[in-house]
Amino acid sequence: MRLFGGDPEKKKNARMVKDIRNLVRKKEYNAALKLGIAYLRRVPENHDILFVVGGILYNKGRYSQALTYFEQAVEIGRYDPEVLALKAECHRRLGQMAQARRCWHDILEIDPENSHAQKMLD
Amino acid sequence: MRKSIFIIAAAVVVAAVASYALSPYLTETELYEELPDTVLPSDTQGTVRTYGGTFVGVDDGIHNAEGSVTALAQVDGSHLLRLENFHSTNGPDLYVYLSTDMGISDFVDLGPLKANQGNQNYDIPMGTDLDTYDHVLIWCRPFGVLFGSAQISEIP
Repeated sequence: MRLFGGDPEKKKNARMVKDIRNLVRKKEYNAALKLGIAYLRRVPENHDILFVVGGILYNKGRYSQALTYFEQAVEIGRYDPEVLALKAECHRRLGQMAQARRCWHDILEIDPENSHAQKMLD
Repeated sequence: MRKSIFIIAAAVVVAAVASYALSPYLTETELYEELPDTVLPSDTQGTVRTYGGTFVGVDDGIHNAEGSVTALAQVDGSHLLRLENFHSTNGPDLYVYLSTDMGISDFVDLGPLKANQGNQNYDIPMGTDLDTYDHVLIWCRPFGVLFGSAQISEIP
């Protein structure tokens, strides 16, 4: 049986995901970021890669850019409270407290017992 | 009127500072603990079972853990879990678990991670079978996410 049904595009996409993960593992974040962004132009709705690219940008302190990717990840995986928490962090670091609070409230809608969101809202 | 504006402004500043201080993402905390006297001396460790392993991080840009881990025999017959040269990314409410695998279907809670960098000690409850609970997990409790894990095995 041939993986990806022999589709060269799918094969290339899978290769890119593997390469992005390897670059992150080797802490070559700039290269991972470049490849991640290129990958997302091809496959815009890959939640995991949106998370990785958002995470790298967040680590670099590029919060408004990270926010773009976390927002897309939230749209795809609405029920991922951790992406909402990272989105809240970006807003908070950008001084957008109302938006940050909205994210923490969204987390509590999904998980009413979430200790992190409760703590941040207290 | 001016006084109440000042009070409101001060409250906003305090809330902002508190929120910044509370936020655990990417804030670095360090703790370097000594080995306690209760650990059997290294020349006797060969006569009792000790375990060791190395952390492998999830490494997705946000979650990671690195360093070594040992489970050292203590005078009372229990083991002490020691993290050395440890460094993880930080996150909300990280815990140290001993688990049967990389998930948390069956685990022993060793308590909150004391700091995301350094050398740290965690008491392992007496009678914990380290051949069964052979995975050390750094686990984010509120989001149910693994940051890194180390499989431990007996050191010959």
